[in-house]
Parts: sequence; C-alpha cells; structure tokens
Amino acid sequence: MKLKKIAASIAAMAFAAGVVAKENDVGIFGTSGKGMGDHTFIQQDGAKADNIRAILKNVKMPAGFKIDLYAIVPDARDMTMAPQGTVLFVGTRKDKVWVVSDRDRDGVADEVKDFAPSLSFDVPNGVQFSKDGFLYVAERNHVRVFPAAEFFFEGPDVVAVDVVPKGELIPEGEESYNHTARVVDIGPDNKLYISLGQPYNVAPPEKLDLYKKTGIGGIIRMDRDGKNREVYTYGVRNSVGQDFHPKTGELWWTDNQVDGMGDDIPPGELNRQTKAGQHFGHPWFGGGKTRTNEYAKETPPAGIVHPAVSTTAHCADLGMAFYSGNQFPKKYKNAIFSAQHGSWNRTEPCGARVMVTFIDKDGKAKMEPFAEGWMNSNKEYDGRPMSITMMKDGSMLVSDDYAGAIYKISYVGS
Amino acid sequence: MIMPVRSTRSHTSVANHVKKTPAQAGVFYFLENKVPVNKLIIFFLSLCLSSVAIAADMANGKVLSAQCSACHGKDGLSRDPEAPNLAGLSALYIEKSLVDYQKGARHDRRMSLIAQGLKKSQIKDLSAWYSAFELTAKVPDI
Ligand code: HEC
Repeated sequence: MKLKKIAASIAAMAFAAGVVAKENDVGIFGTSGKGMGDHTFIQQDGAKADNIRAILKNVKMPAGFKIDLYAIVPDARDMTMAPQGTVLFVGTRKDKVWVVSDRDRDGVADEVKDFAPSLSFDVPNGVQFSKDGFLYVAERNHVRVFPAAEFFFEGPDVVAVDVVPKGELIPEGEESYNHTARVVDIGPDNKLYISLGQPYNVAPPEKLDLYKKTGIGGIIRMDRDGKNREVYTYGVRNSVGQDFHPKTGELWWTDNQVDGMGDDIPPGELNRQTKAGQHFGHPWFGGGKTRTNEYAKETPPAGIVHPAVSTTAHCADLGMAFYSGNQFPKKYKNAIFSAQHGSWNRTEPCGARVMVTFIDKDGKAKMEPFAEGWMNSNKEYDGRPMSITMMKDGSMLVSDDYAGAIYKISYVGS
Repeated sequence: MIMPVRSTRSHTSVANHVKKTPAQAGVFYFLENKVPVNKLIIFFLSLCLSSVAIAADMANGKVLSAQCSACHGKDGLSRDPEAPNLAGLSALYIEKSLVDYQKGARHDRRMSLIAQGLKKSQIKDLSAWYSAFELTAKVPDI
C-alpha cells in the first residue's frame, strides 16, 4: 500500500471513528502522554530455544509435514500476520502485544519485541489485521485500531484509535479476571466479530438478562469504526477461537465447556453458525447436549443450535483457522485447524495437540488429531498449543502460551 | 528446562518445616508463660501424635504436582497469567490456601474445583513439595 493511501485511510478511519483516544492513549495524530517507552526484546537463541527444539522432536504429524520453532514469544496467544506477510503480531493475556519479524526472510523470525511500549494494554489477547492493513486489538474491556501498524511498529509510539472505548465493551461492573480473553475477526461483511466470554463456570440466572443485552457469553459484531453494535451469537460459555469459512462465509467457532461435571462430560465444541442471532445453549447446556445441573429443571430457549463437532471433554478447544493456502495437500483446503490447549482437571489428561476438521459438502464436520506430542510420558505438558494462523506461503503457525513459543508447520512432501 | 528444585532434599528437612508450625511456636508461649509442667507434657504428647500424622511425603507431592503444572508450571513458576507462582511459598501458606479453597473461605472458579479433589495428606505432600523449591530473585535496576 502506498504511503499516501495509508495517510488517507488513517484520516478516513479517524473521521469515521469520531473518537479521540482517552487516558494514556495517543490522540489521533498526537503522542502518548507517557512519553517514550523502551522496547523489550526477546532473546531468540540459547538454552530455551534448544529445549523447545528438542521437545518438537516428539511431535507426530502426518507424513510429509515438519515442525520448527518459529519464534520465542512469551505468553503467545492469538496471532495475525500483517498483509505484506513479514510481520506477525501476537496477543497475550498479560499486558503486551508482541511484534515478530523475519527481516532476512529465511522463514524463521529474527526479532521479537513489544508493540507500542508507550501504550498500556490490558489482556490484549485478540489481534486481527484487516486486508487493508489496519490492526485491531481486543482487550479485556477495550478495542483499538492501529492504522498501518505493519509500517509503524518500529517506534515506541504509534497511532491508536478507539473502536470501542475503554470500559464500553462490557459494563465496567462486569469486568472480572475470568474468561477475559477476547478474539476479534473481520467477517466477509467487513464487520468486526468479537467474542465475549462470560466470567462464570455456569452463568447464574440473575445475570442472564444483562448478558443477553450486552452480548456477554456471546459474540458481538459491529462496523469497523465501532458503530452498529449488535449481538450476533447467544449461548456461548467462553470462546477464544473463530474464523469464517473461506467459501460459505459462515462463522465457525470453538467453545470451552463447563468444568466439574466429571471426566467425560460435557463435550467441548466446534460450532457452525449459519445466521445472526442463533443460540448455542449456555447456560442450559454445559456442552453438546449435556444439561447443566444448575439449569436441569429449566426449559431452554427454543431453537438451540448444537455443536457441529462434540470434542473430547475438557481438552479445551481454543484458537482455530481455516486453511485456505496451497502448500498443504489438497484434502486440507478449507479444513479447520484448531488447538486443544489441554485439560487441567481430568483424571486422564487430554489435549495439548493440534486438530484438523474436514467439512464435507453438506457441511458435516469430522475432527481428528493432526499434531500431537506436547504431553510427555509423565502426563505433564511440555507445551500447550493455543492458536493457529496461516502464513502467506501456506505454512501454518501455532502459538503456545505455556512454552512461550510459536511453531511453524510446513509441508515438505515425502 | 532449568528447574530450581532441590529434589534431593531429605526427610529431615521436611521435618524441619513441620517444626516451624504455629503449634510449635505455641510451645514457646507455654515456656515463656510458665505453664504447669503436667499441662506441658500433655501438650507435647499431642504434638508428637500430630507430627506423626502430618509428616509430609515430598515424593508423593512431586507426583501429585503433575496436575498443578499446567497452570503453576513444573518449576512452580506460573504459566497462567491468573495463577500465582508456588515455588518457595511457605508450606503453611500453601496448605492454608488449599484448605480455604476447599472450605469456601476463598473462592476461585478453578482452584475451588481442584481443591475439592485433594485429601488432607495430599495437601501436606503438595505443600512440602512446592515449599522446598529454591528461588533467586533479580530485583529491577531503576
Ligand atoms: C487451571 C489452572 C490451575 C491449576 C491446574 C491449579 N491451579 Fe492453583 N491456582 C490457579 C489460580 C488461577 C489461582 C489464583 C486463584 C485466586 O485468585 O484465588 C491459584 C492459586 C493457588 C494457590 C494460592 C496461592 C497464593 O499465592 O495465594 C495455591 C496454594 C494453589 N493454587 C495450589 C495449586 C495446587 C497444589 C494445584 C494442583 C493440585 C493447583 N493449584 C492447580 C490455577 C490453577
């Protein structure tokens, strides 16, 4: 994109948003009140990297695929590749967004530093680039856009514009420390889709009206400047993975299900949404068709949509992305790759793997393991895959917030 | 992975930490306040009995800690932004926290569920395990 064009779109964006960032954010063309922050750089070689490479030797995948360490990125969660394909932005559940660059273009990152250190971030889990180069960052209770972040990430100060001002994503009284990781994606309709996990294990009855109105325990959508906000999805417990089918444009998303009901229920979920306003069952259903104890005697709302795939209970299905590249064998085209983070309260631990879901022409979905080996023989985690994104060359990146790393999976053939 | 864990620590040092319980501190209270000797003997007897009951099995703590490491890290350094480090916390505090989660005096969506599944002896074992980790801290230079 030419610089003139960028400047024009920044101006258009700022105008459309009609908001000047508050607090310690920068004004639209101003600088941050905090002054220059220093960048933090993450060391990419040494013992930690060697240790991770050794663990990756245990990872089993179908023939012809290989996995490498792409970058060391602390607390790595949701990822988004900038349109030019050279800079990856990575969200965390702490206070940093990391910028990962591959300057020498050898397919392995060579620099990892924090994005906009002069700004403060609060659980900036969700990151998403638009095709025209705007970086959206969804935090616990704030959504901002960084125009042309791909070109302006070198300095500590960057231009930031509020999409949803701080404190307005959810009512401030509903802010909590549970299920606060958001994901944000841009639909085929050029709108933002933002997941809002509800903070409980099972949402209590007295909160349901408020949640329905605000989209907590749901997915909301809005124009890219924050206007025309509406609830797109109801009955979500805590989703941190979503993507749009490259052909049908339908939204598919994962959901994490109710804890403490036993080892084998309720199942985890991969959902397919076919229209706005559908209800997926929480809190009447704890996952799949399993009713929650709390609402066992209540009548659920009519028209509940059950998951497209019910997954093994408590494996924690998190980030996901459709494969639309050309590098992998043909059967993976338009399949979903998703990360199972792994259980924490199951007698026989499960998860810590990458799954693949094939969808047939009738929309029927079938999930199977794709990459496994992050759980060692002591049943302890050596890593926990968290999310997936695709590179321009058709390789796949997998983030791991336990190891603090990003892996690259590519197809090299036999 | 670098694990700041002293895994060869002997049972004597576990016994050491048992000696530091408030019940023990109470002994000094009795001594300083000149409590009659017969009462003291009974107190010591009961103390011996309870010491036997609470001798922690660190090796078992290590085994049990596999279910904690997803969040608190194998090295007791947290991997989950909502979870604290456990490495080097006092055994007493770990034990108290777990009992508080169990009894509802403290509530957390996940810890309360986890604590439900732990027996008293397992709590002791886990507390002995994590309290034995050794840490060094690097204080920021400002
Ligand atoms: C799913 C993640 C998870 C797992 C697994 C887990 N914990 Fe925790 N733990 C937490 C969180 C989150 C907190 C903080 C909760 C709070 O705010 O009270 C916590 C707090 C604690 C505390 C209190 C520490 C303090 O500084 O106050 C102790 C002790 C503890 N956990 C022990 C354990 C033990 C022992 C296990 C294994 C049997 C375990 N935890 C497994 C997430 C976890």
